[in-house]
Amino acid sequence: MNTQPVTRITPIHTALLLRQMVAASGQDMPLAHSLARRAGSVVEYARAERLEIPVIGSAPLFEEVRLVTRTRPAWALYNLSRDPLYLAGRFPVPARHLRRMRRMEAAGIQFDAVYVAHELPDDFRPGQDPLTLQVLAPEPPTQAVTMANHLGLATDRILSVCAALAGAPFALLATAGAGISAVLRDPVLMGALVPPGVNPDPGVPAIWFLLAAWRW
Amino acid sequence: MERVTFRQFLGRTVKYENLPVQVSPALRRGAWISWPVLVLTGLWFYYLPGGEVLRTEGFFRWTRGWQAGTWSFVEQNRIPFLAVNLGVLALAVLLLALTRGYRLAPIGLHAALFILVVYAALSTLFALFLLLPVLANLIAWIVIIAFIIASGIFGTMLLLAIMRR
Repeated sequence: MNTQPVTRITPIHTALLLRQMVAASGQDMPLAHSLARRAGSVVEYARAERLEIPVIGSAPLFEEVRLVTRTRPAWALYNLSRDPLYLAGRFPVPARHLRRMRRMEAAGIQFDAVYVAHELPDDFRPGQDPLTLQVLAPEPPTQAVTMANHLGLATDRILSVCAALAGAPFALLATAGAGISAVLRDPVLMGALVPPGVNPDPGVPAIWFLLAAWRW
Repeated sequence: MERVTFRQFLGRTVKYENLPVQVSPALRRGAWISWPVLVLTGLWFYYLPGGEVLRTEGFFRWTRGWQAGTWSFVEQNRIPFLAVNLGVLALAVLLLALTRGYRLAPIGLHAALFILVVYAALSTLFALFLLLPVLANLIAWIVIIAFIIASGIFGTMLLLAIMRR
């Protein structure tokens, strides 16, 4: 029986959760001096650009999907090379976070591997429900959906006026637009650094950074 | 393990705010309607003001001046009118391709679709405005003819009633 407490996650506490995610044992692993130096330089570069890149901790890289089910909602942690959302072609990121990450890249900050944690729907049943793109993909932006509905209603009115003036052809065509509901989920992006000259293969020790976390 | 570096990741991102959103059914219908509307109003602006058939022979005097002014304006500018309509029609075709059949599009393209619908509606109103003198006279003639027929029927019935006595 699972005696772990069920906790509600908010974005503020995400980093703590991620530490549990990446370091399955819950403990940091010893680091090579060269890796610690490399991580230190990333933090310095970021500081010079007035950016903050929190360090999550040290843990080996992994390739398989890692599910965190002790929390509610549950999370799925992917290496980006396996992430269905990334493999679908285009990974959506809010403009503010995209700008911030582009600044990081422009400052010369590089990561050897990138991971993403997806918050899963409340009714997701681990081991039973498949982790499909539909489960992980975000809903369309709420503001855009609202705007689209407003434009639909305005068009409806225009068609009604035209129908009144020009006659029947428009009358059949004027109906209200359908609303679209939006369900919110949180993705979290993480970057991992491995020691210089080492391939980022599974099991290689790495330092993990929190790149971005947002609420859709 | 396949590597996805930070740089590669950034190269395959898209702004969340630009994600495509479903086009509302009303806007989709409006966009489809704009096609025939743009063709018909374009043809109307090009051909009809030059036609003598619909020239008002003036039941209402005020419509003669109105028609003469507006129709000659359209007649003189019919090529620009037609060109703009065809240009907007080309935009409608382009939007059809960009929005996967007016179904899914970033919000900016929704705005473009809305502008298309508004232009088609304005074209319709303008075409109706040009037709108003014809309609006004047509209605007047219908009323006169109906009055004459009604008078004839009433007169005949009256005559028959007098003859029965």
